[in-house]
Amino acid sequence: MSEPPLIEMKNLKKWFPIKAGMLSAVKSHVRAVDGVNLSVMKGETLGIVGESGCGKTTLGRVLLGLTPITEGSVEYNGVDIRMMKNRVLRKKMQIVFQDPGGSMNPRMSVRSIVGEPLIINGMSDGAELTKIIGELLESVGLSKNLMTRFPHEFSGGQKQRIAVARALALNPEFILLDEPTSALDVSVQAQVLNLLEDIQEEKGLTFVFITHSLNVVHHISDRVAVMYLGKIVELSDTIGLFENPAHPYTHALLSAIPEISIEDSDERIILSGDVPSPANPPPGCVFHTRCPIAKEGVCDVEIPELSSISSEHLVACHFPVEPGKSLPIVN
Amino acid sequence: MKLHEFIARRVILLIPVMIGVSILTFSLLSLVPGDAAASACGDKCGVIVDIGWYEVENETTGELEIVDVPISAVESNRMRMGTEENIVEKYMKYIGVDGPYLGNEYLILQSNNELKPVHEVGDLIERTGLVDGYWGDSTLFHRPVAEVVKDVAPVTLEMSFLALAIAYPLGISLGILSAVWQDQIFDQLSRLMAIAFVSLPIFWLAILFQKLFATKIGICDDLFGTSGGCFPIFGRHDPSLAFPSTGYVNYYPSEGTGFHLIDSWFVSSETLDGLGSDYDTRWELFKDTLMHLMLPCLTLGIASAGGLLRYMRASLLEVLREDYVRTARAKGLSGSRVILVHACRNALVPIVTLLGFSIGGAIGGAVLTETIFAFTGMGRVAIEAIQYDDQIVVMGITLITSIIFLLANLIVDISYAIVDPRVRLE
Amino acid sequence: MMLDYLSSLSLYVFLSFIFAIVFGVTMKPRDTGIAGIISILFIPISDVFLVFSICTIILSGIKYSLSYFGYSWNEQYAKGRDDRKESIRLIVEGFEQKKSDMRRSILIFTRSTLAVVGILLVITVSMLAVFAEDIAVEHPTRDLQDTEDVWRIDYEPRAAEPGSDECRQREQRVSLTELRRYDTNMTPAVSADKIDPDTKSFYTDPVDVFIIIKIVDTKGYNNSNGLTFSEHITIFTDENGTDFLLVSEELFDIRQITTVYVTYEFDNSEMEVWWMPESHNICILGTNFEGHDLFSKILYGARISLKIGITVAFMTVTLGTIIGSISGYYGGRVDEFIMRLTDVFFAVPGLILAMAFVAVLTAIPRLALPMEFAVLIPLIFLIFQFQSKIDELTSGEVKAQSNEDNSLSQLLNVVGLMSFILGIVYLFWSLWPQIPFENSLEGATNDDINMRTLLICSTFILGAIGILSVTMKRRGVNPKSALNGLLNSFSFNNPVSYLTMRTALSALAIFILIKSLFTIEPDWIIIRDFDRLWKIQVALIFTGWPGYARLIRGQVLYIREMNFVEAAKSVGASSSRIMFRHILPNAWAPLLVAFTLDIGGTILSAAGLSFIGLGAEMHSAEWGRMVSDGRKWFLNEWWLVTFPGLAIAFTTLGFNLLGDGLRDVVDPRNRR
Repeated sequence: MSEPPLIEMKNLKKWFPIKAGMLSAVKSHVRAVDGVNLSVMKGETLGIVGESGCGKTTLGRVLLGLTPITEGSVEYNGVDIRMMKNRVLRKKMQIVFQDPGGSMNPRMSVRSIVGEPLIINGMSDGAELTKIIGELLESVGLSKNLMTRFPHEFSGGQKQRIAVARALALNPEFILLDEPTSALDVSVQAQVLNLLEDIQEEKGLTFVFITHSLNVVHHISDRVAVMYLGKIVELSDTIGLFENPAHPYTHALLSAIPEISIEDSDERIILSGDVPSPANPPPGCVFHTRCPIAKEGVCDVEIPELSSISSEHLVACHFPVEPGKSLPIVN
Repeated sequence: MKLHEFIARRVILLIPVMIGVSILTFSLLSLVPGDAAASACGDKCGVIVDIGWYEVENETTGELEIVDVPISAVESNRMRMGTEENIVEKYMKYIGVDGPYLGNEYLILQSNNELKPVHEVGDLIERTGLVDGYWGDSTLFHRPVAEVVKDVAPVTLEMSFLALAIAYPLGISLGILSAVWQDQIFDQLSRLMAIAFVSLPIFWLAILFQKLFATKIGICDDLFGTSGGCFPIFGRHDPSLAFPSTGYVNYYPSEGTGFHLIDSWFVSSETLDGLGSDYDTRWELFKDTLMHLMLPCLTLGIASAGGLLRYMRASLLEVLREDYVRTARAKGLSGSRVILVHACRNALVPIVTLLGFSIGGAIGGAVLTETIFAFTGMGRVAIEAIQYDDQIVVMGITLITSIIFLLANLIVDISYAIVDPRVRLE
Repeated sequence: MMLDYLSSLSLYVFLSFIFAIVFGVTMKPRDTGIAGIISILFIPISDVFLVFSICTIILSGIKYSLSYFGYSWNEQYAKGRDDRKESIRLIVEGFEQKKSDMRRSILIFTRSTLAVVGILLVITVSMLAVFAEDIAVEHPTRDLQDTEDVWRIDYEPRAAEPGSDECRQREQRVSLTELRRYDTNMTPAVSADKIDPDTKSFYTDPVDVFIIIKIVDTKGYNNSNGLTFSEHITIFTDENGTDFLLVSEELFDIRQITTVYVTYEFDNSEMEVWWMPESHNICILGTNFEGHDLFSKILYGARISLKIGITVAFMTVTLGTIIGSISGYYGGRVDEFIMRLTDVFFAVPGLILAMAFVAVLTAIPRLALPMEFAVLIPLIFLIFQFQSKIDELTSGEVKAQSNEDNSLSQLLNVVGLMSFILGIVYLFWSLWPQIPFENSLEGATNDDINMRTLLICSTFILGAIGILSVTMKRRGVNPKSALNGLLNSFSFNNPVSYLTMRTALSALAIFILIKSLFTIEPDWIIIRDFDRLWKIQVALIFTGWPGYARLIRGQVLYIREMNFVEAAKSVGASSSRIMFRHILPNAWAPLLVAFTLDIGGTILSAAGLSFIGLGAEMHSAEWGRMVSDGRKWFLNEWWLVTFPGLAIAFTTLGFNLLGDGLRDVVDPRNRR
């Protein structure tokens, strides 16, 4: 902890107002991100996992300043991103989107797509630009002859490579990967993940990797944060999390990974009930409505703080599961 | 959302639009250069319309004497219209929300020789403005605009409604046939027809119809043995009816609706007796009106049917692809029953919502047919008013059309919401 | 004269300057200088070369001095050459891409027979309109936009049936009274009055008379006072070959007969057109009661209708796109306001609203903008262009934090803002009335023009300073680096990179400004002769935009939520870039369809308005007006109504079918 973190989120909140009625009065809020404290170290890969709708994508958007923050702050190198000029921010932080096809203007050639950041930021022009774009494409494993093609002429994996090239164009220090592989075939997923790892190693980048796939997180992340209903429920180094999950929700998630093995694995934990609406989160621990070990009078009253159970392992639970033990199965 | 809530909401939403339309007509009127007071009286500005007075001290007796002052039309207009320079005040005055307005004003001559309007206690309070039904005075017709509009609006409306009554069955049935026989010759033909219908100039079609169905040269005389065509060539009713034997009186009840198709059934028997032998029953009167309406409405109807055909076809084709139609077929229902009962019912829903818009289109088209078939409706009056620079009448007609259009849409929406409660939930 | 000269000189300066830059920057300094010197030789040909040579020589001087200060010109030149090549390559590739796109579109389009019929109709009508002058047998000898009735005639023509050869007959009025006054019994056989397009005066041509067909008096009798006219009026040809109508002595003496009408067949050379077979000079579509050949009128009518249709559709699309994209992109209150405004326009049926607009416009003789506004619009445009340029440039140099401003930029902020605000206030409230915009031609002096120049330049400079400082404040840029960036950004060596809409618009704005410096008119005239045809066009534009605004708004709202827009935001694209590069290029497809359909609709509406007497003047070659003019005689002279109506119907049908075909082409379901 000697080095200051690259990005630090302090009590970060993003609430979306729900408008209703004739005069569009704000009735309530969807608490997409609700008080997240998280820091990202330089050069690491932080994975953020959670079910769909848990607010992880919104967290990414807020982190990059693409949507305004409701409360709290995001600090980059100790500076609040709201204080930073938009274009400075863009040169430091970049994003790769989930849907590689949708994130590219169908009417622009690859050259324009990859070159756009450079043109916008006035960094290059003319022949020099073409050279840079060629290098960028080659760095993600594409031929520079593809420059004149249009997005629809590429496969999903190739598109995602182009998206990575675009993110790299401004030479950022940090890239947010928002489920970059979820739209791809498994074989292509591995290629893209390996490419990302190679690039990270080469350029010393910092990644935040948002995904719902635990396998991918296990593969790429140094540390993992588990999100549930807009809150971080567990944060740990990858090995710690996968070996000794402390939060019952993490247990449930891990047990849901399909495994092909001959011996019987642990029984799968099936959570009862639906995810509560983020517009009306339950009081106390947000997970208590579905938690198999929730205790009445504690979990539904008191909000658990994210506290450390070991040096690299933080969990927000009143009754964290001991290392090595499995979750008691209720019904 | 409850039904009454839905209706209230819809009615409230109309208010800003109505205010917007009044602002539009007001700003258009303000754009007309020149003195509004002078243009409102035209060539009659010098006419003395009123007598004002002022008090003056008799030099010999020292008593106050009243001296009369003639007031010309333009001065009277100026007083009535006010001299507000402020555009907002002018607008308030235009729509009539600046409070009650005291009428019968008299003038007093001030020491600086200027006329100043005063009013006497106990004078009639006359409110002026759109909301009070005062829409200005027409210089062309020498009547208040509201009265002119009240007289001519039913003519246009009657024509438009009847035209839609022709267009809807025509468009929908052709649309259904077209969808059922998709991509067959009939479909191709009717699609071409639909495009042709919307491409044909209404006024041209009207003249052709006149020639075909209302003249000796047309086809009627040969086919049906009529003399001079199946339909009257123009006018709203037989010319003999305008001047019944009792003199220059309107044979329709004066407090009638203005829709002659309805009014003809409520003609008093004395009036009927006064009419010629051709029109001694109410049915004859009704028939006469209907026959006169037939050609203009057919023209308008055909023009509107083209669009409806295309919508109906598209809508039905979409519905026919739905699962429940396939299910109905799988149940073994006959093809025609599936289409007529299951598919059409749902396919008709979007078409009915078009009704409100179709009325707007038909009123716009009626401007042209009125000119050709010599109906004194809104369009014809508006054209005349434009030619004589009587803009206030045109604005009155613009206002009334927008009111009719909005109300029609409102009624369509509400009835739709009654039939289909899902709409209310939006 | 002086002012005219100055005005054209300003154009020269402007054009030569552009040329000199394009020419000069692409060459090495020495070559630039040589080019300048060579162009001195051409000065006698035109003043342009004077300006050109001055500009190039100055430019070459600047280049030399720059290299003297250590600016490596050769390096820049080499870079510029590569950039140029690259730019040209990109343009070529862009065209290639467009070509393959087009090919696919044509393939989809031709699948539908109706669409092909539609495009054939549209092409035919357009061709007829373009070549109307060559095909028509009768020339209106005037610009048809000008609706003054100059199809004037002084004889009593008859409406000839389609296909008849009555076009070769002419009824000429012979005033015997006049002949007696001049004591001559011969009157030349002349054509109807024609108008000289140059002098706008009437003239007649002598005609070759073949045979006299009929002679009647004013009451229509062919004999009077015991005389049969046909025996007493004969054709006489003099030695020059000119034909005269010779009145016999007997007829000449009967004073009671004042006027006769002579119908004769003549050599109608105007009817002999290249596309008609020999001796088949007939009026294919007949003539009307004014003797106008209907076919020719319909051809010229195609010009009017297409002009109206395309102008109105284009203007409504432009207006609607601007308003709709503002509404969709900014949302919120702006959106709410614009949508309520469209509600208001939708609440009145189109034709009625158009009539209301026409009613108001009848009182307006010409459409003009006050010069102040006319100057302000390009000025504001230029200032904003400048701002966006600065915006682009400074983004590369910004510091992470804005709160470490140095004192210089603080000072500049204050001064810039102050001068900006002061400039606006100063110009609007104290100086505009004194600017000699209102002066007449005689009144404008050089001082006035200098004053005007000074004001326009100062407004621009003040505005630019203001914008610069505001931008820099927002970005927290060091002014020195910003200026450096500005200087370095202009890729002098690659003029191709300036081939953008933005440059074109900026050049246009500068041109308008320079032109208006030397204009003596009190206002900037948009339409000088704001006649009734223009009025219906303006009315249709004002009634038509809300539909497009809604269409575009919907598109923008839809595309705005797409991922690639967010991706563009994530790399720092500005709003205008997102709008013009990302949203609008993806929104044009339904717009194109609506545009095509709207041309047809507009032609129909305009014809309708003309029909009810609000558009074209009587007897003008406008289809709607022609139907209206012929309506009186539709029972017997059926062609007067039928053919113009068919012309409207076919043209509208063509555009509607074309629009339908295009809908299939742009339908995403038909693309891959």
